[in-house]
Amino acid sequence: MAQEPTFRELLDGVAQHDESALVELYDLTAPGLFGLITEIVTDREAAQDILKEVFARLWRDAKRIQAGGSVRVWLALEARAKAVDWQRAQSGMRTTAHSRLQWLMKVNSWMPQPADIDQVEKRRHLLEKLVRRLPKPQSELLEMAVVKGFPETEISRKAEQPPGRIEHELRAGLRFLRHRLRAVMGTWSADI
Amino acid sequence: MECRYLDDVYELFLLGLLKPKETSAVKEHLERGCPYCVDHLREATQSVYFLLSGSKGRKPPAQVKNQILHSLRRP
Repeated sequence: MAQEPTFRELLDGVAQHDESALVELYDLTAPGLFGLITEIVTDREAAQDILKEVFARLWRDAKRIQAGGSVRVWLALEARAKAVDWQRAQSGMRTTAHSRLQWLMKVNSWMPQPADIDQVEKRRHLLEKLVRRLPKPQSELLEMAVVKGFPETEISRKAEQPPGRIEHELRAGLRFLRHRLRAVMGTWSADI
Repeated sequence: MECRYLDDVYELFLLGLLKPKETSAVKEHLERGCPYCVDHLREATQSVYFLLSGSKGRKPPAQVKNQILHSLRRP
């Protein structure tokens, strides 16, 4: 039986401007990305435009992404950055998420490789089980900061906590996740 | 700022939730290819990816895919 192409092979196809590779990558990832974008952007038409922009940029920048790392990571970060910037622009706030990602794309080796993400996906079920042990307030803060893309001031207002407290709790929640990820991925060592 | 003081900040940097002083420190380390910071940012990116990709999927309207393909074919 023929094997399904890997994400890396699909990205290689997109880099060669193979439309069928882009379509396959879109079919595999668009529902997850659209779900993420609509968590941040409530305007459905704007959310669709952002999804289109993400894939248009993928088409243009595939070679650069190939050199960087995992296309699934790039897609998730690009979709979040564009959605966060759109949402902040509506409130007259500074938009820095996409420019930060653009800046990072010039740094070597910071992006996880496809094999790293395969491991995360293989162990997702276990990671989710462990993350459910996070105290509820921290879990809610992570949801607001990471998935919903709220700025600290809004998180502070919604959680009815001062910004300093929010930052402390976010660091604690992310540290909890980082330590579980190291344990699950088998990268825990004495110096960390 | 030494790397050991930056252990807890890489996810916040990626998310844009870091204070300007620490943001500049991380940027400076990354710009000069600091291996400790690059490795820790890569690990932080896995955590952030895990959280971002866990949200509930939602199928976009069918026309979106056609509009993307149409836009690619424009000269």
